[in-house]
Amino acid sequence: MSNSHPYSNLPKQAFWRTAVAELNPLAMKDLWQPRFSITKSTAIVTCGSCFAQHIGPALLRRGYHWLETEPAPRFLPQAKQCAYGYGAFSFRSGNLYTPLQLKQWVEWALGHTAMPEEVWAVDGRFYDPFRPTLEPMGFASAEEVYGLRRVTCDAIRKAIEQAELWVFTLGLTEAWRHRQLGYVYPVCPGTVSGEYQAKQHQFHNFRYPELYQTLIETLSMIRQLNSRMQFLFTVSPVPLTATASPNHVLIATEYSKSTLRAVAEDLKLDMEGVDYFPSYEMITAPPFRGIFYESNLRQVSAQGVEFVMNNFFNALTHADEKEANVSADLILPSQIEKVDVDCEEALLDAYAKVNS
Amino acid sequence: MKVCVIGNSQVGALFKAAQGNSARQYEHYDFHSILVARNVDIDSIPPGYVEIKNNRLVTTSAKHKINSQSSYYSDTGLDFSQYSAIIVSACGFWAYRNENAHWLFELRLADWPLKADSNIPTPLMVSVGLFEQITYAMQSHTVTMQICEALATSYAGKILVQPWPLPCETILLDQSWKLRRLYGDYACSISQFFFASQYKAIQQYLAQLGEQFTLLPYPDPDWLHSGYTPERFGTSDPWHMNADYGALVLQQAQRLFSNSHFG
Repeated sequence: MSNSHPYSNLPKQAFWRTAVAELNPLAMKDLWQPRFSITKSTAIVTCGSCFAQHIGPALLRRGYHWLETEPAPRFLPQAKQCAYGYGAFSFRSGNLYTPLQLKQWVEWALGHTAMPEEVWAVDGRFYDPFRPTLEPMGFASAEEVYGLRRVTCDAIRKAIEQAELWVFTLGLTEAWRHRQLGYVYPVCPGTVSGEYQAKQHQFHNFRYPELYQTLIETLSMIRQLNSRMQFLFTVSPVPLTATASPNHVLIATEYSKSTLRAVAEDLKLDMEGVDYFPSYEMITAPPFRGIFYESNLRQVSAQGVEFVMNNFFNALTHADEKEANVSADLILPSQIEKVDVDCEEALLDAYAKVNS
Repeated sequence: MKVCVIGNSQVGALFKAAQGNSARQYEHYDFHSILVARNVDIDSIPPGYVEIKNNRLVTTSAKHKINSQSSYYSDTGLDFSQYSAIIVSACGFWAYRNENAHWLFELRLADWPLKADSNIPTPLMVSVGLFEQITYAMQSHTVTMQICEALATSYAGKILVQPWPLPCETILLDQSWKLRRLYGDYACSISQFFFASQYKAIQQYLAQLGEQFTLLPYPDPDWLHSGYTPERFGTSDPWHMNADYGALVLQQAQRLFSNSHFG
C-alpha cells in the first residue's frame, strides 16, 4: 500500500500539534500570508468597528502610508483631536460596525443615494444619528450636521479615489435601522442620543446572505470609481457589549463573529484583490487563552494590539527585517501606547442591571 | 500705587495715552512691551516666550526683549513684585492680516457663505464647537496669555487684562483683505463672531488661571456687537488703535483701582 496521500507533505503549520499545541502561543508564526503586496508606499484607508481605530495610527508609526482624507485642522491641538473624531479612521465616519453602515456612507459619498435628513435634537443641541458621539457637546444646528456630513462624504470619495488598499474591520451583525427608510444607525437610538421610537426603529440581526451581498455591492461601487482598489477584511475580536437578540450575549457574540468571519473568508475566495487578516483569531483563539483581554474580557489590551500589529507588519516585511514579537514572558513593553478607543457600543453597558 | 502695563504692541496705545495725559494721571504707570514677529506661521510659534526666573519675568529668547524704561527692569528681568497691580495689554491672537496664518482663513462655519468668485483655497468647514476649541487653545500661544500664566503662579496682586482691540472699521474698505475676498460683506459678521468667541475664550482661560484676573470689557459694549472699533480710534494700521483708545482702557483701569471693593 502506498504511504503517499495529501497530508504526507504538508508543512508543520498545517497540523495542530506542531503548529499550535506544542508551541508557546506567542511563538506561533505565519498566521497570515498576505495575498498581495502591501508596501510602505501603498495608500491605505482604514475604517470599521472600534478595533479598527488601532490600525491607522499603527500604520503611521511604522512608516506606512495611511491615508487620512479628513485630517484634523492644523490649529487643533493633538490632545483634542480624538474628541472630535480625528485620527481614528481615514475619515470621520465614526465606528462602522456593520457592512450596511459602510455601504450607505459610500452611497452618500458617491451620490448614489441622497443623505438622510434625520437629525437628533436634544436640549438645544443637534446630533448626527450616524455618528452620535462625533461632536463632544453636539452640533449648534441641523445645518451644521448636514454640512459636516457632506465634508465627510467628500473625504470618503477622496479616499475611494486615492487609496490602493481599503482595510475594513467587521464588528457586528446586530443593528438598528429605520423601518421605513431602511438605513442603519451605529447604535440604537435613545441609548447614546436621540429617542427610541418603536414605530420607527427596528432591530435587525443581519444574516450571512445579506452581509455577503452588501459587501459585494459595496466593493463593486468602490471599484467602479477605483478599479485598482484592494480590500483587506478583519473581524473585530471585541465581544458585544449587549445583545438585542433573544440569545445569551456570549452566544450572540459567537454568532456575530462567526458569521462575519465566514463572510470575510468567502469574499476572499470569491473575489480578486480581497484578503483577510486574522486579528480575530490572534486574540480569541483557544491557544491564546484570553490573555490579550483586559479584566472585563472585552477590551483588547495594549499587548494584544501590539501582538496583532506585530504579526501584521512581520508578514509584510522581509525575513531579515522582521521585528521581535512580544516576549513570551509577556512583559509589557514600555513603548506600547495605550490608544483610547471611542466605542459607542460599549456605552450600552450602562443599561446592564446589577445582579441582585 | 505703582502699576505695571505689560504686553505686546497693543501697549503702544496705552503708552501714548499716558504720555499725552496733561493731568499726569498715569505717572505711576510703567509700560513694558515684548514684540514678537509679524508674519509668523503656526509652525514657527515658539513653545514659550516668557518665564519666571528668580522672581523676575524674563523672555526665554534674546530675540524677544522686554522693552522698558522702568527702573524695575534690568538684565535680570522685570521685578513685577514692585507693582501694586498689573495690566496685561492685550490678550488675544494676532491680527488676521493677509500675510498671517490664522484659522479664520483656513476654517469656516456651515452658515458662512463663500463668495463664488473667491480664488483663495476654500476654508474647511468645521463646527462652532471645534472652532471655539481652537480659539481657546490658540490663546496659550500668545505672549500676553503666557505672561498671565507666568504671573498666575508668582504674583499675588490684581491683574487686569485688556482684550485685543476689535479691528478698526476702516479695514472693511480694504477689498484685498482676505476675509473680504472670501466672504464679501459677510466678513463683518465673521469678525464679530470671532471676537465674541475669542472674548469668551479669554474669559474661560483666565477663570482657570485664578481669581486675581479681571478681563476688561471693551470700552463700548456695542463694539463687540458690531465687530469693529469706530474709525475715530484707529490709526493707519486697522489692527492698532490710537491714544484716544488707549485713554479709554486706562480710564477703565483707573475706575477699577478706585473702587474700594476691588483688590
